[in-house]
Amino acid sequence: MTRALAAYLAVALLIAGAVASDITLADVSVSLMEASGSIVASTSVTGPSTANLGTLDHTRTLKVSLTTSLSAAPGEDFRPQQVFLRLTCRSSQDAAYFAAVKAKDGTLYATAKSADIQKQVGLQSGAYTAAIIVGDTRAAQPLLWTLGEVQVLHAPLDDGSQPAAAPYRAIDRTHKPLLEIVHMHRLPERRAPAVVSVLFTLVAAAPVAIYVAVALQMGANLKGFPSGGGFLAAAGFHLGLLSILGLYLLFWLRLTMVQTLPMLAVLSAVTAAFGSTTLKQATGRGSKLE
Amino acid sequence: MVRPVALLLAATVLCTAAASVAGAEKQSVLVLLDDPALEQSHSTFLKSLSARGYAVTIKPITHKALQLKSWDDWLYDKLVILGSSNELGGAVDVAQVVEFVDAGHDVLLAVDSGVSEELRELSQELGVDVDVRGHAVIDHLGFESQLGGEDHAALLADSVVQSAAVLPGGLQGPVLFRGIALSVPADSETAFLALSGSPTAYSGKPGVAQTDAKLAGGSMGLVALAQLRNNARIAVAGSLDMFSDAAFQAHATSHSGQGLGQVANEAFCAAISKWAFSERGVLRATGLSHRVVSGAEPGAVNPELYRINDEVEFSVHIQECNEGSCRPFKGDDVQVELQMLDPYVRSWLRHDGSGRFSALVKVPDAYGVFKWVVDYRRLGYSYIELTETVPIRPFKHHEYERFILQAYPYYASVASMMAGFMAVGAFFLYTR
Repeated sequence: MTRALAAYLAVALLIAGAVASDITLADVSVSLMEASGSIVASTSVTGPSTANLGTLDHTRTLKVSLTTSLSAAPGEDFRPQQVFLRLTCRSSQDAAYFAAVKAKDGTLYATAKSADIQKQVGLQSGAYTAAIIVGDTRAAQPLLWTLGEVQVLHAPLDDGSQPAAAPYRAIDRTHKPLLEIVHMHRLPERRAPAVVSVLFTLVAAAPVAIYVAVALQMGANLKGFPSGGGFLAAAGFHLGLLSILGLYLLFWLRLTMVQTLPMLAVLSAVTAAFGSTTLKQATGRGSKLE
Repeated sequence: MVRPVALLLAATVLCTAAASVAGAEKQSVLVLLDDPALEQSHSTFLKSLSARGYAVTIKPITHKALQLKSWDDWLYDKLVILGSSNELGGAVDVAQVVEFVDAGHDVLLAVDSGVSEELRELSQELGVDVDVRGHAVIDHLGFESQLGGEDHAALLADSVVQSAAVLPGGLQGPVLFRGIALSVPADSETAFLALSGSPTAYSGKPGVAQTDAKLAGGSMGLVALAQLRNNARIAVAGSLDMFSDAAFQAHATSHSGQGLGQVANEAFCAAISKWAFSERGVLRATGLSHRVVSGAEPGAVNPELYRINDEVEFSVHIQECNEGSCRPFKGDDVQVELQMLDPYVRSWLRHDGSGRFSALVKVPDAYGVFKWVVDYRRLGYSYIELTETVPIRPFKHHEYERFILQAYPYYASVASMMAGFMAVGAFFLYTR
């Protein structure tokens, strides 16, 4: 019972003491180090600052070191419960946190690399605001010091450029509209101008016209077309041929093969019969002429 | 013929029908309490569940006869666990709760810093990681001075998810929180933080110097929600106290002693429990339809086939159901895709204000088995997944363009050959 009361009194005294206590920071320095350990840039900070702290690329380490003390007990070793280095991305306000650990000489230091930042906020290069947060239940007032601005660069791509920022959380990628896709339909093939087509139509039709004209010029005629008994056979033969050519046009325009073949069979038979008679007569006439 | 889309729509409607709490039959909620005293200390929250139309059954979490299902029938529709150090009793274990969720049921899990390993494992299975037992969320710059003056572990949180489906009117005040930190894996496609830590908060052991900063700031969760692929919903809260009557009635005082008015715990807890029990942000899709506007069969509704290059109108009706009433959904970011393995067309669906979403799409000039896909996933809303298969065919041989002017030379050459044949024959046979 007595021990419990003593413990209670100790806690009460601690809390009562905390009310008047403030945290004091000293020897606050921000340095950028190469992998070899050599210091590239070092900045001493004596209070909230907006200094340019340099560039933290993928080979460097950002180190913040400081010592802390409690105003109520300035000579005593005081290690606050929270000593965090916070790097907040300017564009997205996402923040990466690094807790300070104690060095052998008693100072507290926190280190940050771009790969560690990537683990917490994803690939976001650019300006980050560095801040140190120091808090403790024994202190009346916690401290939040802005240390300055640091440029964070991640491992570059093959062409030397920085990787593009992408949403860190999968849900931010999957729960948003996707880009619209418009299908590119094939363009119709280029066609010749109408004038060219008409011209070539005339060119294609010209040989037969020229043939007829030349033949008539040379005395071709139809005076030998049979009359009397041979007329019917000759007319039937030529009408049959014309009908077959007409059937060819119909097949092209509207008929199917199945519809066309029976008609062609009938027309062919009739044409062949009339043709046979007509050609016999023509042959006979030819032999008579000889 | 029962079309596949009809089955899909039916499934969607079944999954989202949970919004009709005020239906003919009351939905049953099992509440498991870590300590019987919680029934008194959290009575306002528990009574609010009954007031919302649920048949509430309250049992100790360690109850020996505890069971969620009888043979193949689930005994409850929703599960609330106000848990801490005790483990699940009776026939209920992590696997059964996961099975309960897989069957489409909703779970609200609240724990505190004394969380048992079994409840941590359950939370992890549901997609939300809980920090180790004994840790607490601490904020030396944002603690509530009346309740957290000693350990800075009672804090005022106001960083909430920006979603009208979860918190329709936003947060009207800070939320008083004392509990354990949560985290959601970055690759999670289902879980998100409804309430997160302030930029100066961290998770650690009270009174001990923190040597790592694994959980800190805005990526540290205080309350996490998850919308699972089967549209079951999960809420995990890192605090039991935030649901208590004392927290509902508390007035906030900042660490500097400034009064901040009444905390918004009651409204916030009601909001997340309504969301978790599918009373808010539920989307219903019905009446999927597509018709040919111009092309092979103009006016054909839901045709079996499209021809390439057809102009087609796709439409679907979407309603948003909140607290038992459904209204036309007015989202401007609904998309439809026409896919054949990959999307060939992705188009915006425009709504007419009465819930009808439509898009005019020109069918691609590639043929094969295509399908319409509406896969709508937005933070806080239930998912819409609709598919409708419509193959696309090429032109038939007689559907191509005829009598092209550029082909006239070929026609002329054929006619010329016929005429020549007749002329040569006539002149040869009959010239005298």
